Amino acid sequence: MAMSKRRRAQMFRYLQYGILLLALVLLIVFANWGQIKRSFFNLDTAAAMFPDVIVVALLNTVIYTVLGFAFGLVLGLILALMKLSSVGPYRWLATIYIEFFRGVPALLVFIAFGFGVPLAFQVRFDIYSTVMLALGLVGAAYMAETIRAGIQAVPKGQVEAARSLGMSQGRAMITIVIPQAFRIILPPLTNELILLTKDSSLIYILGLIGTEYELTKYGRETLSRSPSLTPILIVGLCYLIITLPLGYLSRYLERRTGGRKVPSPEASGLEVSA
Amino acid sequence: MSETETETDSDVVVDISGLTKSFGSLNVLLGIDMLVNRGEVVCIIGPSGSGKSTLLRCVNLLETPNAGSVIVNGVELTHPDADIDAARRRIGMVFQSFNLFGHLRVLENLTVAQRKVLKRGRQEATEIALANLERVGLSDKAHALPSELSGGQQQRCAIARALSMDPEVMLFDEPTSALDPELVGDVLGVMRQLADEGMTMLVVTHEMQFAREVADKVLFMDGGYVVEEGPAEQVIADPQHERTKTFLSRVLNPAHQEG
Amino acid sequence: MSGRPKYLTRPALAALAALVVVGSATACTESASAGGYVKDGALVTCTHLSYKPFQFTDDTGKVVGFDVDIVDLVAKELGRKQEIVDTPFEGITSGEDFNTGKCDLSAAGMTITDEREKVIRFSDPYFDASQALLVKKGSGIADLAALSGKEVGVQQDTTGEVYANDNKDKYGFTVRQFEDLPLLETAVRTGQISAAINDNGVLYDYVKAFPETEVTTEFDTGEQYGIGMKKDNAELANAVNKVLKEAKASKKYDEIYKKWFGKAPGESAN
Repeated sequence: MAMSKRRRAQMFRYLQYGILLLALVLLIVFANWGQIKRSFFNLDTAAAMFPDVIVVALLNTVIYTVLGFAFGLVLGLILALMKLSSVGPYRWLATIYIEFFRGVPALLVFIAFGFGVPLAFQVRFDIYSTVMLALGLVGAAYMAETIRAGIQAVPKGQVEAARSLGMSQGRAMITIVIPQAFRIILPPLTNELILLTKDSSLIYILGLIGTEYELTKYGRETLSRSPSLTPILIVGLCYLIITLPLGYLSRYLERRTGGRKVPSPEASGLEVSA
Repeated sequence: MSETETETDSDVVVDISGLTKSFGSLNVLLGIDMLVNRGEVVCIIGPSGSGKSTLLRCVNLLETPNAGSVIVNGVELTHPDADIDAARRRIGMVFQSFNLFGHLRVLENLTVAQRKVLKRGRQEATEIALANLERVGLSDKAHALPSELSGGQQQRCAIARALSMDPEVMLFDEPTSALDPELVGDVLGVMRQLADEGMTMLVVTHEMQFAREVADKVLFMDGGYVVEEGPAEQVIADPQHERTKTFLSRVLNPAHQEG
Repeated sequence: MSGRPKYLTRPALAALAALVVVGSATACTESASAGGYVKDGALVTCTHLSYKPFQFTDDTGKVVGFDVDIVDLVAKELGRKQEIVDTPFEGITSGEDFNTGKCDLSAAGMTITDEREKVIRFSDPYFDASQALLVKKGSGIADLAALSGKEVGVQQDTTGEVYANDNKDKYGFTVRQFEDLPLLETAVRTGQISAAINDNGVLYDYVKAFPETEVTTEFDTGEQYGIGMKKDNAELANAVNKVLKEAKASKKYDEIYKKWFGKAPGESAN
């Protein structure tokens, strides 16, 4: 009765496969497929959603995401440089900003900029400005840390060589460090883009006109008029059209840069004397 | 003359006096005096931890001394008002780890500082870059990425990059220490060539034969001091101090008992 | 080797978990009906906050309002205690909240419409309402014609939204849709929209608290609120209608009305 260790392991593996298979079979047998089809796969509803779901909703999602990402990237770079600065107040300001906007739900930031700020300061932004601001402010907080790590991942020798050639610290940063830093952080930045794409679903809270609807709002509106959940499925697929390729891109870029991971921020300092 | 320039003998390119440097509680340089004249090749040798790299890095203020003065090309770099960036244009540096700019091709490596710092036009910068690449024997690598080059090729490109700024003095920080032995010769060959052409050079190195044959003056450092200084041939072949002898006998052929 | 038995590997545990999930899922599809009510001893009300003065939270965080008091009457009649659940309005108007067993009835300042009647059962009407126009004080906007080229705000899934969309082409204004009433009202104050269309009851209440806004006109849409229930819940509907009838006859209704609107019904300066 003494089975070899390997044989025993093999037996248990088969048992696991068997259990998995059984679970799958039970799921298939007991699921109410008629209901599922009615709930998720109504072709008429799906067909009626085109082309608006693409030319309005998907397009808007892309626009909002790009706006937020662009603003967030620039602001994130500034914050990263502030955090690396030798000037104390710059560092503290940057840290406060980052901790705040990373610790607060993005939805609250949207509400603040859509309603709070206009009310308090008697200003008005159009939808695109508000989205760019709100998404960008939140995105910047996340990207700042990534960018900072990227800058610190650039070997110290690069800056020394640049300075030795007579470049100022600023010139060295712009021409030598930042370009290399961005190559390093392209994979995590692409991930950030995916997150922002999903966060763009929060702008419904600002109050939208039909032409401003992004995917989630469009899906919900269609859902409220349809007997099935098909709109949710279609809209979900549209999100995947954006996020899946970005995911592949991110992994491709990671391979391209030799899988050089961004190390811990303490790895290499950046201050070069004088 | 500006505040930071001093009346010096124009033949003295590097003038260091009383240089002291510590990192925290670690005292690395304990008071160094050194002179490098125009056209001289000075080699600094010594065991690791002796402070030789630190000394070299103080010459272009990559390290800031705690005390003492550094005067290069008549400009006192340790003066509070000194324009260090401007001064560095005339000091070339070659690093142990090459430090070529990884995201730029070789030609761009050589032209980027010329254009951004010296404000040369693209045409002029490219011509100078190509001439220097020719000088180090790598004309055919102008469009390669640093990652496509061997260590020795990268180092030679680094030398060409420094030369493209038309420096008055070249600093070499253990230029061959990171190279595979068979590539060392090419780099040393380029350095030899430079010396022959009259470049003022300050070299930290372990290559004793090179030091002996190419250097005019050799400094032996140990424990933060210059222990011995003198003509290359003499210091290496016939050292006076015990510590120099001990060091050299370990570095050179151990079975070779000299002096 | 570690003490964990070799067969408790990750795939095995995952399969076990999957089994448990499937098992409980099948069990849960049977609606939890405690005699037709979703919760023992309680009458669970779905509503969408905040819709002052029909349902909103007071300073202590308790949900109060006109609708709350009306349903309390029903709960008392049934010998149950009212519990209130705050859910998105679309779940209420579509009847999904009943299908998913969230609540027994819905009271949310909800107008009786043919569209909604397709999916939920309404009680008899318990409140007369019409749409009204909320603007910034002094804006001079007193009718739809004055809104040409401007933006009008509405609340998602309301009759006001329908009214606005029906009229937008005629009068040349664009419709901006908001998630709930407070956000809609705030947007008037920030100037993001020139006017808001919503039920008169709530708008009049709002301008009391925010005098920089005003209601300049009403649109006689002849709306009536009803309490919503599951389509087949005739038993509960009968009970609700009985309570409403009695409340109106006994003046209890007027009492509640005066409590929240400051005057008895019929006295409204319309």
